[in-house]
Amino acid sequence: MTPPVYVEFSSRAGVRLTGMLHEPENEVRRDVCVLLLSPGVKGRVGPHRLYVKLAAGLVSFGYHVLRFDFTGLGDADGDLAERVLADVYNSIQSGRYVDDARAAIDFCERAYGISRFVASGLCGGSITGLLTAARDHRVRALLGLGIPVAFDGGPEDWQRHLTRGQLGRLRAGYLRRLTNPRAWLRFLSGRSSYGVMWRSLTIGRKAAPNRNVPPASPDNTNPDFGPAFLQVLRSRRPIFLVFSGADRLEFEFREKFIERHQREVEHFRGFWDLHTIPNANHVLSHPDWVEEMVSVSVRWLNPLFPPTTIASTSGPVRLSSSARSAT
Amino acid sequence: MEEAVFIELERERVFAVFSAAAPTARRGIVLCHPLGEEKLWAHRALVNLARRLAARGFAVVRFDCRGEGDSDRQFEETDLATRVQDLETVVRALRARAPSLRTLAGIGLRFGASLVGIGAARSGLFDHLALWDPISDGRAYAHSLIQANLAAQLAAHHKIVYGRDRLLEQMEMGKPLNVEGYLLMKTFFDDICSIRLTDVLSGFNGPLLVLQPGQETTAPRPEYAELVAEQPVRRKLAVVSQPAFWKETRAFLARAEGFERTTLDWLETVA
Repeated sequence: MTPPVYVEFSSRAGVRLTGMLHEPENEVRRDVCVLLLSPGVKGRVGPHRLYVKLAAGLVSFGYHVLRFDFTGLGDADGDLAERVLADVYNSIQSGRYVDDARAAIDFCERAYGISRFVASGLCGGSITGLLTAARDHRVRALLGLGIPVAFDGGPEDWQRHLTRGQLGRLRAGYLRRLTNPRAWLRFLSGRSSYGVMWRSLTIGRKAAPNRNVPPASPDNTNPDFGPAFLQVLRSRRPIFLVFSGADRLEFEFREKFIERHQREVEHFRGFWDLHTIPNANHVLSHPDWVEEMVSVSVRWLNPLFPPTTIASTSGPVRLSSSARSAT
Repeated sequence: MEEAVFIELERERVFAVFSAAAPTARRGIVLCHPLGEEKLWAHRALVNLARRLAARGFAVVRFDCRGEGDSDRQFEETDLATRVQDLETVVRALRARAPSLRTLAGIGLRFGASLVGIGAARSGLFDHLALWDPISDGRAYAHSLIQANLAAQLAAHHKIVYGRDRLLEQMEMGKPLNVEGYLLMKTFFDDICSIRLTDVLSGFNGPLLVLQPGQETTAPRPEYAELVAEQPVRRKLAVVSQPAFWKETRAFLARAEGFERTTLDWLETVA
């Protein structure tokens, strides 16, 4: 495999950004670049070098891959004014790094003649990808890994905005711990979250909200998510989302977006899909989870970008025993 | 100004960033990152430290050990020996770029602090050492890595599937210990367990600064006090108000203000 090349380019605000460009050895899809947009504040490598692993998987199928550091993070220049991590995350979810992503596209076009782009990334990287895709049609598709629909907040916010799915999972956890003496000690000593407990146990008595109706009171849903998602779908650009089974994000996606936009989302059902990796955590820290994520991603990507030349042998996609076909 | 390069090491590559310094720079710094996910959380603070040091005229290099960051190898293909080799390679590269260096300091964070200590003691790489919250008891640190695995099992399976003894057995059989996605093999695990910083640094006679995060009333850790007591004239221990920027915290910590300030002040007295 050709080793990655260190690259530097300027953001649209003139800030030096730094990254690694992975070039495919075979000629299969050389005019397509997958942008692996950095998650949170962890830079271009990603948690446990997830992006290095992802890049290796994608490049073997003939894609260019660019992973780079956003302004004020990683090795890039610039500084962030925020002092609270949740504020940084929320600013990312509001589109802070869309211009940096567009600058990356400008760079790839200019320096490598690449004309088609897939926006991808984990968590904050995926929402940056979505918001970029909504504004820039050079992004032909979105591969969103653990995409957040709601803003981050403190513990009090977390309790207030729990989804039905999260409450159901919590209820299952409480019932599992009924015979656990430590859990009872915690309950009786005032250290439990009684409000959350009550809500989780009574959730079955509440009807699911009406579809296509916004919530009665504002919640923590990112107001930019829905319009961006629908904008991409309306322009007939495909979206594939991969969620981790042990994460809360799929619940939020379903309850805070799908349920509220059911009609339009169903109208464009042929343009989006999702896959859930069972039991996976948010950062996909098990090799089997990474393998499954790469496998389902290339299985979705490859037909969108058919080979432009005869491919050299890349080998079969090796699936773990826990792999599931895309929904 | 910075220059990012891949340093060749036996047909593999070590990613390093050299902060440009005047060709006649007399003082050099090598920054060593902590292990695993701590590296990612601490990265920006170390980048900003490198830039501040460079602005003060130091020739600085920071790098990714093989198996981490953008250097070659998978994490599970590395151990203490590869990391020491990486460090030696980077030091040689810095000296080649800045031949006028008169002094070279190693600044390391957590496991990186232990690594610069080992580099100083075994290979005579450094004249001064600044150790930020160093891993002084490798066995205790290794235990914390097992704890991280157990916590991850609880989160994923709502129970411990493989207990500590079973995890150790599996490592004996060649299976890795998964620590937040990093696959730790037995060789490296044993390397970590063998680290006792007091023993490692017994042969180091240069100025040494140990920084412990805490408040004014925080007592020095006994192992740090022991380390400094061996050579009280040349060694200094400071408890500094410094949030743990190598972990996820509520605060966004792009700089290690407390550690940085104390280290810079100390460097001006020794370097």
